[in-house]
This record gives sequence, structure tokens and C-alpha cells, in this order.
Amino acid sequence: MKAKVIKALAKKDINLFFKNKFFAMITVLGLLVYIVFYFIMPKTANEKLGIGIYSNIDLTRAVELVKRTDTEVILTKSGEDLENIVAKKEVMAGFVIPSDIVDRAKKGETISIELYTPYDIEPELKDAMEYIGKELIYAEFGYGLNIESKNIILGKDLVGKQIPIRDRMVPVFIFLLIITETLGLASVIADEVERKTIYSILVTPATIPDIFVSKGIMGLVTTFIPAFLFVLVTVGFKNFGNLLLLLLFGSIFVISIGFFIGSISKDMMSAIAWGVLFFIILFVPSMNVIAPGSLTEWVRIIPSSFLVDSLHGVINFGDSFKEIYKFLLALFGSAAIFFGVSTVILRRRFQ
Amino acid sequence: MENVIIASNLTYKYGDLVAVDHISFEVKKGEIIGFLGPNGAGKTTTFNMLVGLLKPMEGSAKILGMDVLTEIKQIHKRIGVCFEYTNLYEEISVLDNLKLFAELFGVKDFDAYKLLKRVGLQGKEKEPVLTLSKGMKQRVMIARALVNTPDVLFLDELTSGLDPVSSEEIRSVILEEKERGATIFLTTHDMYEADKLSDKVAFINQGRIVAFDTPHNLKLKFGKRKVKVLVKGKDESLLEREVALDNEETPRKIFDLFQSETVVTVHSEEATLEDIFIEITGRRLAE
Repeated sequence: MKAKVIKALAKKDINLFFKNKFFAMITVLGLLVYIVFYFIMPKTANEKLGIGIYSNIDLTRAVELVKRTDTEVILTKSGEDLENIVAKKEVMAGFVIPSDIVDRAKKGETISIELYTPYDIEPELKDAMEYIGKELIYAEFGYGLNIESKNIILGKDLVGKQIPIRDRMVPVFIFLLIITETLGLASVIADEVERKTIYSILVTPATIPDIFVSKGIMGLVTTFIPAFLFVLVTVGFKNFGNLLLLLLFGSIFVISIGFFIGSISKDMMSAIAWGVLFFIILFVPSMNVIAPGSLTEWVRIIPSSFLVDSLHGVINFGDSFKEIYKFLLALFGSAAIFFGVSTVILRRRFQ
Repeated sequence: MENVIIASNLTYKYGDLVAVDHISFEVKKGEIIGFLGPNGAGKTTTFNMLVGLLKPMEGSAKILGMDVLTEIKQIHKRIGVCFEYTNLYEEISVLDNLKLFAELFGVKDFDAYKLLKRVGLQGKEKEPVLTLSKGMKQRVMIARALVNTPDVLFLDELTSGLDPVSSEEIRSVILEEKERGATIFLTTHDMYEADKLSDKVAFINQGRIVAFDTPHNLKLKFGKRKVKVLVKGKDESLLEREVALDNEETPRKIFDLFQSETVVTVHSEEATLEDIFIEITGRRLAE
């Protein structure tokens, strides 16, 4: 590979990308719109007040009393169900009330009730939930018991670090910013093959790897730079090193998707059609960030989950390199597969 | 004189179809070779094998002493290629198209304006290619092929679909290149173009070279000279009569014509390459 050849090709690819007003517009508009969205979203979180209870004993009176305070109460059939509704944030907290509570109270023992809370519950709310638990027991049995609340935090323990919706959306916005660029990259590749301009390059000293690297550079310019600018405006320099690594690997992953779409597309329209399909599939894991617990583990088969989850961790939970390196490897591995397949398809198409 | 292009038993198949069937030929430095044949004869497949876009399934080829299979990138530095189809970057300017290729070839002090003037495109430098006419685009294609001052030019259907003026101007650029010393491989199904430009012509039919010689020798070998006589008919209309030359009967037939009819014009005519192609293959070039 020759630096001057790659530079000339990359300059041409970037020039062609921005000559297409549609792709130029979605790149610039995407960046601006997501920044505006970020700043108009609420800075604080506002969760619905509700509790879940799992118990084998009759708690009718207590439930009625709590409901009178405008608190929603959900009775679950199992401890597992209770965990799920807390994890999905359908309720603020869940209580497991043991069936032998009365017998043990009579013996004068200290009773332990389990309190499930989501990882990002605020400390004041957690205290309030413990209080509600004690009141619940008092309401049912008519007298106070020696209760010891045992807290079980579901997910990461981030007490006091409630995430405002706009911060939660940052990883999603970054993902949207860079995934949109697959359309442009795929179109440039498909167009090059469709118009046979690639043959004019192949009869010069430029090699196929030169062409691929130049397209990759164009991809990096159109994915990494907008995402980087967005991060600077919204996140700043928080956990900057890890975030840069993720943006770089995320961009490489997205470029590989662009290559793949470009390799299977006949022209610009089919590149856009395939691009939209991939966009829909790859966006699915983002739902887990917007509404935690909304998707089950199967979503991990979609490689974009490695990017969105790790971005969420780095931006909102301060995840370290130790926590994200597996995601980086997974992104790199996925990118290598897509690049490999695209290379084979493209070579077959123009040789 | 050294052989710049040497093809030995070049073969290429598309599935069961043998597109190029063990063809061999040589082109000397500074020569123009015209590959003449109808559509589907194997011209472009041969062209693509020589410029490294297709790998020969059998046989070998050398350009400037280098093997097309193993040294193609070295070859690319010294050749210029003009394709049958227009494959320019249409959204960018004429100038940017040429500059891109000059950078790819590592041409120092590249003067795009001079080159564009040569192909008659002065004043069009800043125009996006997509705004140009087909003839102008073809001139840009030629200019692009000349960016690196190539030792060998490969031209596929150079003037196909162009108006006569554009065709003639492009042909004159090619002849200038020959004057400079470039070796030129030209595929065409235009017998006039092949006749006018080529030092040697290869007739290709169904993947095989069926004749390979100078146009003059081909005409001597296969062509039949004739005299075309225009005579006045009874209703004053003009009628055409043909008398074959190089024949014992020729003097008597011409004498008879002058005796029996009112002769208007007499022209001697030599066979065209098309006539010879039909004579050899039984097919027309325009098929």
C-alpha cells in the first residue's frame, strides 16, 4: 500500500461523499438535531411511584392502605416475577414478605424482609421504600414488628446516580449518528462498482487493499468525526480515553457494515434499502438502553449491542477499560467478519 | 524492433462459452494493432486480460517484458487504458478527475490544462463531468488514459457512438501518440477506424484470430479489386455496374460496357476490411 495513492483515493471518496447533498445533509443535520435533542430533554429523572410485593400470606388490608396513598401496588406470584418488574422499573421497589412472619414475630425474633431496588434508585427513595415496607407490615398486623430490611440491588449498584433521560439517550444518539453513515459509505461503494469507475482505478498502480483502506478512511471521517464532536458537546472529557476507544471501534464496526451493504448492493437505491433494513436490526439493542429490561439476552446476537451497551456503561456508569475490553474485542471481531465477507463478495464482483 | 505486447495461447471461458480461444500475437514498439471483430467476438475479453482485469485461464501475456499475471502493478505504471464504457467520476470536475489519476500515477508537475487543450477541452476544466456531452466525456477518457504519458495505450471501442467530428479528433490524438512512440492496442468493430489507424489488424471471430497482418497485405491477400461503373438507364436513372479486376475477361467486359451503355463515371475500388472479414468469416462486423 502506498500512502500517496491512499491519500488521493480517500480525498476523492470524501469529495464524492459530500458532493451527494443527501448524505452531506444527513451527516450535518444528524449531528445538530441530536445535540438539540440532548439539550431539550429533561436533566432529571422522574420515576413512577409503585411497589411490588411477593408473599404467601394475605396482605389485603395493607395493600388497600398503601393504595390510598396513590402508590401503585403489584402483587407477584413469585420472587422472580418481583425481580423482573423491579428490574424493568415497572415499580420503584419490591418487597418479599416471608410466610412465617407472624410465627417469628410471636417468638420475638427479628424479621428480615427483602427489599429489591433498581441499581439507580436515589438514596432518599430507597429510605422511603424501607419506611413504606415497615408501614405495610404495621397496617396488616396492627402492631410494629422488629423488622430488618435486607436490600437487594438489581443490576449495578449506583445508588444516588439516577440517570437523566438525556444522558441515557447519549449512547443511542451516538449510535444513530454513526449508523446513519453506513448509507453513504455503502452507496459510494455500490456506485463505484455499478458505474465501473473501480476498473479505472484498478488499471493504475492502486491495488484493491489501497481502495479498501481509502474507503475505510472516508468511513472514519464520516462516522468518527461527527460522533466525536457530539461527545465533546454533550459528555465532555468524562472517561474520555475509553470513550474515544469505543468511538473508534464503533466506527470501524459501522464501516464494516457499510462495506458489507455496499458489496451486496447493485446501486445507490438498493444500498439505501439494505441500509434501512440493517439500521432497523442494529437499532434493536438500543431499546435496552432507552428502556432497561425491555429486551432479553437474545439481543446479544446483534453485534451493535456491544457498542450501545459499552457506550452506556462508559458514559453513564464510568465503566473502565477492564469492563469494556470484551466489548471492544467483540466489535473488532464482528467488524473483521463483515470486512472479510465484503472483501470476498467485492473481489468476486469486479474480477 | 522489440515486441511490446506478446500474447501466447490466451484463453478465457465464461462457463462453457469459450470467449477467447488460444490466441497468440505480438505487437512491436510504436505499432498500432487493431483488434477487429463483431460484438461478442472476444475483443473486450482479450483487452481485459491484457490490462489485468481478467486472469487468463490458459496461456500468458507479456507487456513491456513483464508478465500480466505476476507483474501487473508494474505494468499499470506504464500503460494507459480507455474503456468502452464511460467510467469517469461524474460528480467531480474534469480537472479533479485528471488530477486524481495523476496522483495515483505519481506524475510530478502534471499539467492538466495542456492535456485538456490537446483533446479539445480547454475551458471545460472546472465543469463537472456529468454536464458534458458524450463526445466530451470520451475526450476526458482519452485524456485520463494519457495522464502518465504511457508507453502502451489500450483503447476499447474508442469512438463507439461518437459523431464523426469527435471521432476524427480523437483519432488524430491517437496518431499523435503513435508519433510519440507509444504502442497502441485498439479494439473496434469499425473497419474504417481499424483501416485508418492500424499498422496491423487482427480479425477476431468466435474467440480466435482468423487473420493477422497489415491492412494492405490483407487486402492484397483476400480482397478482390473491382471497377465500379455508373451508367444511365432508359429513364435517365443511374445504374451501378461492377467489373472485377485482375481477370482475363476484365478488358472485354469494360469495353462492352462502353459499347452498350452510356457510362457516366468509372471508379476503381479496392476491398474494404469489412469485405475481407466477410470473405474470411462469413459474418458482418456489425452483427
